[in-house]
Amino acid sequence: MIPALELRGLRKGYPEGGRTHVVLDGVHTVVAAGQRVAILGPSGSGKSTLLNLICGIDLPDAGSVLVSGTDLTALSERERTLFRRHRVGFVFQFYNLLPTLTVLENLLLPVELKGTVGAEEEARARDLLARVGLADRGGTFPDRLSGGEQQRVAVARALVHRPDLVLADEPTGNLDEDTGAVVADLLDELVRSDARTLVVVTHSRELASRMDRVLRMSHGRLEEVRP
Amino acid sequence: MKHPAQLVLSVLGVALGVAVVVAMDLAIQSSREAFRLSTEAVAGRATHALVGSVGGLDEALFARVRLDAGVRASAPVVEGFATSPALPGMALRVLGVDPFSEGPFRPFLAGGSTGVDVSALVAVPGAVVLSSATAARAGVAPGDSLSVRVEGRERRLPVVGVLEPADRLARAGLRDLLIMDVASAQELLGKVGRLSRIDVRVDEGGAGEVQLARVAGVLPEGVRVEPAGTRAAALAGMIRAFDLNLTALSLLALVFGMFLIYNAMTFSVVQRRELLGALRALGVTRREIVAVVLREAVWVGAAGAALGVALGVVLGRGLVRMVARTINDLYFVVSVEGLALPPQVLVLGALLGVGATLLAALPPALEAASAPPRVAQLRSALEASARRAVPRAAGAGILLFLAGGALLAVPTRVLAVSFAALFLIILGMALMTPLGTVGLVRSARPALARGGGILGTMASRGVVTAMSRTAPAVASLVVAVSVTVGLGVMIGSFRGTLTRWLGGTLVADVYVSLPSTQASHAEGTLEQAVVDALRSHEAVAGWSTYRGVDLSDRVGPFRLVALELDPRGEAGFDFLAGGGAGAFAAYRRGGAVLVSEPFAYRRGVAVGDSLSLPAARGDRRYAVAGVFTDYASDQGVVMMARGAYDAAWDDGGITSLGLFLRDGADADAVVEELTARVPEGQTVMVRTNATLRDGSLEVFDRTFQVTAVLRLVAFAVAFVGVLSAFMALELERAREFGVLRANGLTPGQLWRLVTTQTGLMGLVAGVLAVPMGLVLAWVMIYVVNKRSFGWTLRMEVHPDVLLQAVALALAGAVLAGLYPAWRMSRTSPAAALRGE
Repeated sequence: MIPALELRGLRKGYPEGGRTHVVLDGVHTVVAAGQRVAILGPSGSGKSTLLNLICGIDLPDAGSVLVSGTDLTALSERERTLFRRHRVGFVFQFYNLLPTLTVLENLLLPVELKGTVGAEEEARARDLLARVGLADRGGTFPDRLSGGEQQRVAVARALVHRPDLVLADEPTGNLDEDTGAVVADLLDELVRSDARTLVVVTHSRELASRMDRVLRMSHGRLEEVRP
Repeated sequence: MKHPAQLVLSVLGVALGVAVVVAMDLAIQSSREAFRLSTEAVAGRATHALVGSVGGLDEALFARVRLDAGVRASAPVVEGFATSPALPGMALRVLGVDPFSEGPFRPFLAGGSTGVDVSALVAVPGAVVLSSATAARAGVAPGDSLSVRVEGRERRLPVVGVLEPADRLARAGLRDLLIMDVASAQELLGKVGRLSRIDVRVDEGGAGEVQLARVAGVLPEGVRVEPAGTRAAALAGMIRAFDLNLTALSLLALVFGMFLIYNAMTFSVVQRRELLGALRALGVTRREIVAVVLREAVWVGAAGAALGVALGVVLGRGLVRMVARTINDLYFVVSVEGLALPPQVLVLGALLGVGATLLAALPPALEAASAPPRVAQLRSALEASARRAVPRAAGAGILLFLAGGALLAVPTRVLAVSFAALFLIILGMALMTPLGTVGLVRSARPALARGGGILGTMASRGVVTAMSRTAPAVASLVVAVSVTVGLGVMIGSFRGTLTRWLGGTLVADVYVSLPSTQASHAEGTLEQAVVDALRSHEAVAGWSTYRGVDLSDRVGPFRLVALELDPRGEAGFDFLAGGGAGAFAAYRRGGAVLVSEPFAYRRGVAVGDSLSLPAARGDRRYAVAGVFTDYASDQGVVMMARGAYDAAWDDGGITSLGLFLRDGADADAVVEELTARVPEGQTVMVRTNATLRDGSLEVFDRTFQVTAVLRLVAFAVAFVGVLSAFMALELERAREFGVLRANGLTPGQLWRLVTTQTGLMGLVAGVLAVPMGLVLAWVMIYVVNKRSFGWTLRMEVHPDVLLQAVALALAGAVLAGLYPAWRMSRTSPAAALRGE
């Protein structure tokens, strides 16, 4: 069976005062389809960089990223974008809802970009909204929502177009403990019920404990914490 | 500086604004300076001048002034204009003097200092002296002859000397002078026995009063004593309205530049709200924050002003030719050698640039100081307060608009008041544009959502939700495009009115005149033999003759035209008041005159009033029988029957001739035959009605070239402003675009999103600019033009001008959006998400 995600020898560095600061230095791992993986690590260890490489919004200096067997590093910018559009869902730490769209429109954005918006997709979006407890807030603009509510919308948005792979970058990092727990529950539940593969970068041991597998980013490499 | 392009655009905006103001000022000042130097060179050190009416003075008067009145410091002068094939495009001022009387007046002719033996002027018939620079340009030296044309006749004049001016000013003053002996000049200019004026120099104080009284005692009727420079001042005054119109237009460009600064400084403040909030938390006072922002503005303003002054000098070199040509076409002969660079113009331009920058930076500076002493106020809160400000801005705009309207209603002829009102109206309408933008964008949203889905919705909502950025950009574009609409409609209306007027006025089939140094009217005197030869052509069924002379009264110069009209010629008058059979009867009898609208407006005369004109033997009064439309001279024209003119002035000349052809005659063929009848050696312009009309429209189009340049520069400034605003807007949305890209938005879709939004803003600006432009056109046509030039134009709105404006705004905005779109589409989504 083709793994949902395979990272082979990823290297990534950033220029820093005339030198290159190496963030990722030979990252290898394989994630099976439907697996839920947490990546832990201190700030600045390269977790978010790794997530950017996995979804193809950034490219490694060396190595390759295979999502469901497709090598993202071999694709053009446009091909990577289209791949992301169809196969990847993303939850950001700071929610990143689009301020000019209503909650429902934010949810429908990935479907709209996919060009498949119809009654069924809209019904799914409304269903997801109900499942995150915001059924009556579809017409509201994001700036009227609390941080926790915004992140619940972001979780729903990451799943609305049925992606193969869901990536979450510190999804509870900007929330208080209780709200973070609610969002973690939702993410866990929705991913599990849809049988999606999830890679979540987090500092939260509580969130990590819910995952099938835990990895740690250390000195530019991934170490298995709990297989 | 995080975004150096923003800084560059700000500096460029100020620079362009300052450049156009400086360039226009330099062009006008250079023309005025050239005229002043030339006039001073001719006037010399005279304190007074004796001047007559049409045809000047009898030369015998000179002897009476010198001998009977005992004023030894007096000199006869004969003046006129000539051209030379060796000096193309240059009108030469012929100055006929008596070298032996010149000592107290024009030092360059006094001998000695310039090394010219001026006595040769007297000894050699037709001899001429010119400045060394002009001689070099014409390729002549002492001993050669210079070919000149006067009133269509070509003559070769022996060059007996060249003047070596002592300094730059003297060189500029002498460059267009052809100096001759009085007798030679009289002969050349067809003024035998006549003088243009007699210069006198009297002592200061009581002794001078006594000398003037003695002079007055020997003067015949119709000759008066004027302080030196009176006529020059009157001539210079002719272009005051022209100057002010150009200056006001150039100031508009600076206003657009202010929009740009406002944008850039606001952007810079918004970007640093966190920092400013932190500084406030650390104890930095509001006043100190304002000072920090204003200090930055001073640097931007200073850099922009320095660049603007340099650009202004470059642009001024091009504009000075256009301005000088327009002055030549419409007002008086001036020959501009180069760009004068008066330091006060450059300093004023620089100060204006820095001042405008500080003024534009003040609102963002105050906003920066209002940042709470904690971490940044949310951008959404800022935008919410911007949206709340929209109705308030519209309210303030309405008040300013009404204030401008009220100011326009003030019955004054002070042009500055009209322009102040115009600026208030523009500012008022600019403040109303955010409300108009919100309304239009909201009404366009359903269509955009249908056509573009969520991206279409985002494009339209983005305009309203980012009001703090979009409002100044749209307002600046609206103002720039509305000015384009306003000027376009005004020029179109003027051209339409002029075309109709020419069609109605030029009723003869063929017009005959001498080549003129000025385009707006014929000059010189047709030889009677030529007139007779042309009138006797078998195809000619009737004729009208015109005699145009320049007179002056307390208001300023005007033109008196004596008409011997074919009955068909009377149909050429379009009366605004009076006219009709009774008026024509009074006019034919000689007791009444017809005056042009500008003449009536400037002097406040109406039908039934009495008018005093300086006739050959003293002032004569005439009744005003009609006020007619006329667009040939904004100084005013008085028309009287030829008989009345002959009775009051000793001048039998004919300036131009209108010929009515028999039915079926081919005007073009007749023109060829008539031209063949002109004696050899004389150039007479024989033109069909259509050719003359086309020529007049050509002059009109040339006149508005300066305006076209100003429109272009103003639009360029607005374009830079919009580019800057859009860039700020899109840069601020970098994270938003990063999210979209992470969600699968392709670079192509990003392009479409950005250009749809900027295009929408352009379209909105174009649509809003149309009514605003029409209001501006109305004010310019019915108030500014009337008060500047005294004529009424009929407002004509051609749909193509309006469509062009909308297309211009749309194209400008889409173009301005291209760079931010390109930049955003090339930015790595990861970098955008990191907030880089």
